Amino acid sequence: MTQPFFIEVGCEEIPARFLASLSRQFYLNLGEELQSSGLRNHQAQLQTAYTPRRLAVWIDQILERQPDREEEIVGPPVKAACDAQGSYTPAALNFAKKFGGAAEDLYKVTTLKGEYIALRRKIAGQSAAEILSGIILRAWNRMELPRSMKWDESGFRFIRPVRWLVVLLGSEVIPVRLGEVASGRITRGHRTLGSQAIELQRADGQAYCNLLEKNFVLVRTEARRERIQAGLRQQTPEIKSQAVEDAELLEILVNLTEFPTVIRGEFNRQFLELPREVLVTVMRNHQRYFALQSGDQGTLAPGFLAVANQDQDRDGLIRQGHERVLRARFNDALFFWRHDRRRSLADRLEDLQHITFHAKLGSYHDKTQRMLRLADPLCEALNIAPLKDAVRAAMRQAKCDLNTDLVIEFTELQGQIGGRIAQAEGQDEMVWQAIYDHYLPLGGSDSIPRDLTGAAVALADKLDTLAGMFAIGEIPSGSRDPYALRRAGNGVVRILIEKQLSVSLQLLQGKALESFELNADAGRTAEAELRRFFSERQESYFQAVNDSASRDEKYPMEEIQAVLQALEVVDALHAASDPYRAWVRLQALHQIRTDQPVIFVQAAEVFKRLRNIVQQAGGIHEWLNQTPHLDDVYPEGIEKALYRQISAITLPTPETIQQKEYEDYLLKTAQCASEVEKYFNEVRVNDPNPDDRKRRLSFLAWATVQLGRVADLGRLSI
Amino acid sequence: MPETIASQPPAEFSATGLNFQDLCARLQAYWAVQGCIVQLPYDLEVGAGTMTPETFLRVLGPAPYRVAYLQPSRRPADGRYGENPNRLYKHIQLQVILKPPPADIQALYLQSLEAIGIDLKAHDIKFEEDNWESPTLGAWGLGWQVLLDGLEITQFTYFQQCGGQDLDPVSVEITYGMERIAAFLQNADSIYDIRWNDCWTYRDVRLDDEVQMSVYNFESADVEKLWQHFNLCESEAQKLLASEYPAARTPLMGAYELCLKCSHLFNLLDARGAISVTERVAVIQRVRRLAVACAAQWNQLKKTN
Repeated sequence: MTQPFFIEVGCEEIPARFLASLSRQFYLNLGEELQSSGLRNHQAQLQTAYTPRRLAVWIDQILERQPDREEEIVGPPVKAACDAQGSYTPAALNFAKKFGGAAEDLYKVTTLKGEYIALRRKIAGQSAAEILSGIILRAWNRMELPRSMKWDESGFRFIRPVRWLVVLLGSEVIPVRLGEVASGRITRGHRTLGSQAIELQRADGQAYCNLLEKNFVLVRTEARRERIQAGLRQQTPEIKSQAVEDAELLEILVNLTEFPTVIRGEFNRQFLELPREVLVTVMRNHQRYFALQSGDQGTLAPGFLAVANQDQDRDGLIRQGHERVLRARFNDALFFWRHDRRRSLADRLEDLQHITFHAKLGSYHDKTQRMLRLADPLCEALNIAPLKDAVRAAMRQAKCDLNTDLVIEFTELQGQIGGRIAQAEGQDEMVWQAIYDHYLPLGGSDSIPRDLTGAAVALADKLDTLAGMFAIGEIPSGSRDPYALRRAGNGVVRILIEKQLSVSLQLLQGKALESFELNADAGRTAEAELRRFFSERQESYFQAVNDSASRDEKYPMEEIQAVLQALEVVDALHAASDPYRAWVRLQALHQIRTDQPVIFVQAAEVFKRLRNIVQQAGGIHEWLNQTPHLDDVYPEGIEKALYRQISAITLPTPETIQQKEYEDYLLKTAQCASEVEKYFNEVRVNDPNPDDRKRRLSFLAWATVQLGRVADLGRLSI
Repeated sequence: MPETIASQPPAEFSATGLNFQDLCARLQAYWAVQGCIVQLPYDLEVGAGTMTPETFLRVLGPAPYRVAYLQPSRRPADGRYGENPNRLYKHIQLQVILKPPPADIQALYLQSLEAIGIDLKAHDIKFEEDNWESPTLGAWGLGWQVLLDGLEITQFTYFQQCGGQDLDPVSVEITYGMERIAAFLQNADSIYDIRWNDCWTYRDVRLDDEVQMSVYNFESADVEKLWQHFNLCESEAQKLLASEYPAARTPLMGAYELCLKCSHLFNLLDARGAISVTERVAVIQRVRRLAVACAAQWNQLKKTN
């Protein structure tokens, strides 16, 4: 026999951002608890619906009673349970009696600990009505809550107060308590439009939804979403105006209302003088309105769409109210904008002396000067010398919006406001866009500066912050990263890779550190810490790429490690601190290893053979550069031949970094296989003659480094 | 108001909507019926009604309490020389504390809106998450901002901790922004156009005050003297808190008032731009230490009494 089951937990408004996840947890937990209790009937689907004021779950059928089951109980060990004749001792008989059995029910089992006696007993299933309360409480208590609260003497905790509870099995109320709230059959409608005492006769989800709809509650999220979407279309009948698409805002509004109605409002065209970002931030983030834009140009129209928690705007009062609030906010912003425009952006540079960047690192004026010092080396390293003037102009003004009224009011628009002021002043497009973009990227999925001028300013800003913070020992560790330095580091790596900029980070970070005038020891420490930090940031970038890639497009961890640990760190080029090169090397390595496994194995074996001998003799560093590596150092024969072959394998130049060239590099490494074979057959490395031995080990060290530049091939499994 | 865009000329004396003082009286009367003591505003400068002893100290400990009071709240940095139609250096809150909160508290609150003439069926009411935390008071709570047609008219908070002490029972704090509600009821685009009574406007009553205090807060307050005041108040409060008195004669309120003065002086220094970002945290800590010590002493006294 089965019965329908229904539960609704009524709450004061649950925050929109947590609603979907709480509902889902409750639904999944209930499903699991019903399953493990044996009440679940697999013909029936568990269903869920929610609004800010309620979490509901129902199912058409659960079993009225758990199935009976058998359980094995293990008793005393055989040693104690049986006497010498093999008959049961009083201990065994007592055990049987205790669990409602007799001597003939006993049998022997072998466990890991030895032989024991045991018996089976039948356990009669309990009725759903008896066990549902426990099931519900377990499901409820297993929810992972964000910051929770107490509201009454019971001390019961939830994200907001629980105020009513409906629990029905068939047409019966199942008694359960959540804190001081006891279950019943009375639910509530919309706060101001519906009845506050609606009786539910049966555990019927569909009837519940219908009844609540009559009381101005759309319990199903799809129903609220559809009503909003229909309203958005309906309120913009003209082809030219459209609500700016915004799935995130839509979900917030779905989770903020029980009966959403779209209301269109207008604002004075004069407000369009404000930067678009300000208008959109006020409408979207502060007021939760959809902005309107004219279809073709994407320019904003002087109107908005608000979503009210009401069935209609009978007297137009809601529209009037929303329009007045927006007018007040826009008036504030316009006041700020016009006030800010009274001075030129560049003119504000001196003001930055009064804005502290960090107590130990000076003001934003100091920071600007440091960024400017990075302009030349950065532009040269990035090969964008012609942009130098634009970069410097943007750097000079990048932080100048920090004391504008608009940025003080809308902190999240820093950079963008400065960019817009520079644009309104008629500054060069490259310059204002670079000011606008230089905080980017703000997160993993955020965009990066649109052009190279912006990229250079963004890099200088982030490199300066990192160098400064590392110089004063503010190094992120574990979950401690109060200055979001990892985000800045990720930004540097992303910009370099995605803009395809090949540059040595070590060189740049060295330049950035110069401004802080550390003594030699402290300088070395900071540099080493930064190098480690950037290596982690690169790894994290590669992992992020992996995370979003499909399963067979992921880069194996050992390949990432091998690329980041390439032996190039040993020599002066430091290309392992060049994120873009590392990225290309990873792709080349992955390509060869996947498509031409035989070639890869050959290359890796060549590498390992050369390296192993040097390692046994004391290591690469011991022997590197013990002899000059010149053609006439090597005697004719295999030694000269192999030297020539390996020294002919060259790396791509910075101008022409291409994956193909790195692949060639690996191919040529593999092609050394027969010569290497011959070398070891003909040459005795550990020759009794010390000069020969030195020359040969030094050669092998050099060759290992030479062939390990794409990746530390020794780290890879073959 | 220069450079302000209005949809219509400011309503001079529109007949609709309660005037400001009637609005204040109506809401106080409403909460009086709910069993609240109607207290007078606290006679010291505070940044919010939460800081007065009627909230900060009364929410501590187990004794039930219900109180409602208007509280002028001073936020020096919010001053705009009377030029901005929506911002004030000093605004007026109606603060309601219910300890413990009744189960129908939200309904009671909504009825208070009806009591001042708002037809709930004709407007859009939302309770939107807004958690409250005051590092200066060592206090936090969870709750909402109440939006009436998109206008934030009330902060509604279940206090969980105050002065660093876990609260048991918890209290509900309802804080109405009186100017906003009045402007809404009177359909006024500027706070200064609000009718205070039927003869005078908010402008008549308060504009000069806003202008003069903005000049003082932003320009003429003497930073060095403010720091001296701050240090004096702090050390005197510390002395009071450390001194040994018989429980019945403990000058706790003296210490707490000095702590409130520190808090206001901090706000003034902040408006003068005299506190750097890094200093900020440390100064807040100093005020917080006093507030937390007062809360602990209050709890101690209530236990021994």
